[in-house]
Amino acid sequence: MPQMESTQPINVMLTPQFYTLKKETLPLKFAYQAKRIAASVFEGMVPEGRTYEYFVYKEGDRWVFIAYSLEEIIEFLQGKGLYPESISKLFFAQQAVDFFREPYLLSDKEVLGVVDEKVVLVPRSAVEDEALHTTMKLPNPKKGIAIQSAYASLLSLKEALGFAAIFLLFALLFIAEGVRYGGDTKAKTQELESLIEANPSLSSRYTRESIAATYRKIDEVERKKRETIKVLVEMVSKGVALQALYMDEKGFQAAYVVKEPNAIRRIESQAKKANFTFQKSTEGIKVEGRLCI
Amino acid sequence: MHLRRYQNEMIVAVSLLLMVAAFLFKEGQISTKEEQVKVLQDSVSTIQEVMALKEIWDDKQADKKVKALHTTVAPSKVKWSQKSKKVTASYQGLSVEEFNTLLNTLLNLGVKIELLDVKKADTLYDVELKCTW
Repeated sequence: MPQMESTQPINVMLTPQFYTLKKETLPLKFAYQAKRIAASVFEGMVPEGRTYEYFVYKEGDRWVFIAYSLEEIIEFLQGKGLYPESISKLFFAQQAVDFFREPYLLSDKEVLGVVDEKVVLVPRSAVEDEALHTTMKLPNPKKGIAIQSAYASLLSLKEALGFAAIFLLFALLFIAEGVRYGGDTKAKTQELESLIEANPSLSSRYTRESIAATYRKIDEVERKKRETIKVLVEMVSKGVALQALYMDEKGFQAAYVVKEPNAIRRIESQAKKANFTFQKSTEGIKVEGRLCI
Repeated sequence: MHLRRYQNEMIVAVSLLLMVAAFLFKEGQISTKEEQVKVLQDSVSTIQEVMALKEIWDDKQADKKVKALHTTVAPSKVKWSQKSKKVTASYQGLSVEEFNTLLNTLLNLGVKIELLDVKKADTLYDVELKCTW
């Protein structure tokens, strides 16, 4: 058999050297029953060392059992350039027994013919030249071994293209979304540029962070001073008079003269709430605290 | 290995890879943009914060505004010294109302209070004040 190359899936009809045949008359009704006992039919008939599979069909009132090694067949076909994915179905010459009643020239030395209702290889010399056929239109038997489905792609081309189209559509959507997100910082950049233009001293990130830190510290300390003064002034009420107040950068002290005993508790509560230190003295009340942060 | 055998799977795999790459591209763009926007937003916020804080604590009009601490009480009760960006004031015999007005004025000015020393004598207050800006 010469080297072959196929772009379309093809059917292959196997000659007798690729299978072992046996015909039996058995009281079986269905092919699956025959297939179940096929292994026992060929016991001792097929060489060991290979895995055999079985093909069964009914021919008249007899069951035809065929044992074949798919491994061996594929090895041979691959050697000839025919890969499993390019083979649609495998048939056995026996399935076309009627077509081989007229001998078919297989090679220079061999002829396919029928002997005792079995397709066999016959030496070419045993057949007259006139009786030989070199071309033959073989039929596709009803049953065959669907080799492509076992070895070829899991997906059909149509399914693959369908999936690919969906994936590509999503890819396009993602790219479009990515591009849309990518070019959307212009407004913020312009805002920053205009701010820097108005404040050139703040153009450097480190400079502005440093300036911001300085002002944040001033803001924090000065706000605390003002809040403290407000709280200290709020402590003044009926019967309570501010006697002295001292405040510098580090802390403060305030002294009150209290004439209303009930006011002491209120001032104490206000002082605790503001985290000030509260002290009673003979002259009145002293409130103090720290301002350093 | 016969690649044709896997042709259909390869079509699906390549398109799937493209989709994953596009997804990663999109995610990358989003995170890059978010990071850029965050950096820009931080810069804008910092500048705006500095501007706002400068307006309060580095007010160019502070020299004039601080004079309110001088004018809020009768001139006879104040010893006023203003040098460069520093004021030292000494108030004597302030009534409660005058003292309250002075405190309110001080609290609403964007100056750094270095010293506030208040002493009450009878019903009147003496105040020492040092502030800068």
